[in-house]
Amino acid sequence: MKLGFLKKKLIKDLIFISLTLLSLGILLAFALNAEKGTEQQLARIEREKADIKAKVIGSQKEYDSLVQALETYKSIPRKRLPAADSLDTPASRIRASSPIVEILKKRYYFPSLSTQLSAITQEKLSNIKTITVSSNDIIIDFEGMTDELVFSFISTMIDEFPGYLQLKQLKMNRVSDIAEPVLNSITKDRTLVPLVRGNIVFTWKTLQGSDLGQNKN
Amino acid sequence: MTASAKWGYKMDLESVFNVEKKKFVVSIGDEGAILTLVDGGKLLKRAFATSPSSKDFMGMFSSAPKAPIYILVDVVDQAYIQHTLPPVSALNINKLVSRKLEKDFDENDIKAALQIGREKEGRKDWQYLFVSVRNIPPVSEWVDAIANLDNPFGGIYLLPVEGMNLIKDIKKVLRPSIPTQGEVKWDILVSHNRVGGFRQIVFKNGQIVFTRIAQPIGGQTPDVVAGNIEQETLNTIEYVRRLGYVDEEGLDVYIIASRDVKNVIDVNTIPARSHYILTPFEMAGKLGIQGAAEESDRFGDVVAAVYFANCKSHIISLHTEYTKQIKNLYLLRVIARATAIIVGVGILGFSANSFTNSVGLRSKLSDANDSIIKAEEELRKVKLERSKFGAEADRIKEITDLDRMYSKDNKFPLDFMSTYAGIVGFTMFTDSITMDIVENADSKNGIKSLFNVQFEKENMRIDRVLDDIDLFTSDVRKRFDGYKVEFKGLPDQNTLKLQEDKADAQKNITIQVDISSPQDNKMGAGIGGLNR
Repeated sequence: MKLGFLKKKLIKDLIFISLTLLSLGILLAFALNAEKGTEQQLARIEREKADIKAKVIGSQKEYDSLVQALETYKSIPRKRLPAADSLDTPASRIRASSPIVEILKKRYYFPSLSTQLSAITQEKLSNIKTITVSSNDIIIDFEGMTDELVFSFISTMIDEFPGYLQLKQLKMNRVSDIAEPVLNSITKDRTLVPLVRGNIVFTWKTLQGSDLGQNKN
Repeated sequence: MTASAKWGYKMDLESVFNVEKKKFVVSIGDEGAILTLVDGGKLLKRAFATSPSSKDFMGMFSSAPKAPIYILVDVVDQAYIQHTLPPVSALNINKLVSRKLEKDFDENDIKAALQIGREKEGRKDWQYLFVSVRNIPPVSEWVDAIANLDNPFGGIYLLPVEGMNLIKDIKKVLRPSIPTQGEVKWDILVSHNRVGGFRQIVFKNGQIVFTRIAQPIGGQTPDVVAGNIEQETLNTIEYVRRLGYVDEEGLDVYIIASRDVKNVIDVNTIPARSHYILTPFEMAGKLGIQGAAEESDRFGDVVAAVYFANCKSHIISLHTEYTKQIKNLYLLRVIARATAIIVGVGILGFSANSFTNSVGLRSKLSDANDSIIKAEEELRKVKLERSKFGAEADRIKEITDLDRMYSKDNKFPLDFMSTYAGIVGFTMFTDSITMDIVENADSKNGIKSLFNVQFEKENMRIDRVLDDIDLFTSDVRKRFDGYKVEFKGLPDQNTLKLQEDKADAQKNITIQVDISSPQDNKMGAGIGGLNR
């Protein structure tokens, strides 16, 4: 009699325990799921944060680079900047170069100096979208007094020319010694006697684009 | 009905998990049964009945339906047999005891075995006390009636066996300072009980040796009862002598009887070292269970029952087959509940831990969200600053890039020539220069140059010219360290002497110097930073 009663109680206990444990299991599953979900959400947010931080750093670098570029830009001589007279035709280049060459020919005592300009080409550079670069060679045949004067001429050409002048080639030979007849000719006849002869090849590049130079302070 | 018991099983699991403090103890004797309801050591109820058919008596259990019922047996039909068992391993001794119990006792007896010691020397035999109760009326009637009640069943216990706890505590309070040398080995506890009569239990070194019970003869007057007690005690001592007792070993006698009996007992008739005669009321006071008896109480049953209920552990519980099944069901419930509690607490622990983690993560999540808001604000500000440059930004950047690219190296050929011009020789002069600016593999400007150098030898000593050439070549190499330098037309002394002897000897020695930038650009920077 009592055994049956106890068995029923045991079964009731087991059912209650099973249901309780099941409920607790569901609670645990819910808690673990919530924890995992939060972890995933946190990981996503952390990735997002890292992404934004990287963007901030990238933008800051870009901004700093721009500020630095602006400072550099302000220090660039105006003659090198893109201008209204963009020197993209042979005629404009001849007009711009001839006076400078003539002045320097006299300044550095060249007995003879002739200039030739090659055809103008437009250079396409990667990463350069808004600026066009026009380029050609300047070939100068000369007879000069001394090699020092020739080098000074080259240096001044690089400094004075609009745009950018780069020495490409130099050939120079000594044509005579500084002997007595030569010295006499220089001092008495006041004629320029060449001691060196050769040719110089420059590459001349000018920039074309919007007239930013006009806005320079 | 088969009876069995767990030997050495001193505490019921039910009692561990039972939060109910109330307990019923039913002392069963041949004359009837006494019910005692105890709550934390306090006696709440007591009642007497001659048989389980008493409805008033049986109805009292429903007053505390969750209180477990313990049966304390004090009947005549009990057997106590000491056995010395061979020294088998501790794992096998239970099987051996079980087999011997089945063999020595009747199948229907309620029986158990109590380990009372093990020899420390020699074979180390096991010492066991086998106990049994005949499962016949009145015991069987009471057990069946009580086991079928709704109350939890606490088990069947034997009063003489549980008396081992009682004698230990009695000796603690009555003989607290016995020196070890004078330790009394033998004790006799005599209790005048309502349900059984004169229960006498003999202990040696605190272990039960045997027990006997006697019924009062000749009436219930104090003189008669005292005489019975004296005589029965004497009989017991005589029996103890046959078990090996000698006077030198020492014997104490403890008697529980009514005050009237106590007053007339002549202890001089009992040959013992010490005699302690206490009334049930005095005994309850000594044991710290003052409410267990009244001053007028004449019997020791109730004090023993309350003491038993108050004990934290019992010596041994016995079961019939039926009560064993009941016990197992209780045990299953306890195990199920204990397992459920452990698993439940574990799950709750995990859940709480997970919840705590989630809270921590949510806090981090909130911080991360705040950081994102700040980062986005920072990004917005930077973009705003960047936007102030407008459309000109790209052009400015491109112009500065081009300027850096085209201005960078445009004077370095002149620096190169300046370095060369620093080379001075007494007899040398440069006749021609050829210089080409070339683009290296890594898009950096390099240089290829060729110098024709003349050394005058006319009117010069040969060794002086050669010294001058040596000086020149070493100076070139030193100044253009890192460049590729080659000399062509370098003479030696013999060549020069040979030329001297010839009529058409040349006036000058011509050397070609080829200086060019290193191809791999891994070499040093060269002079004046020319190698860029």
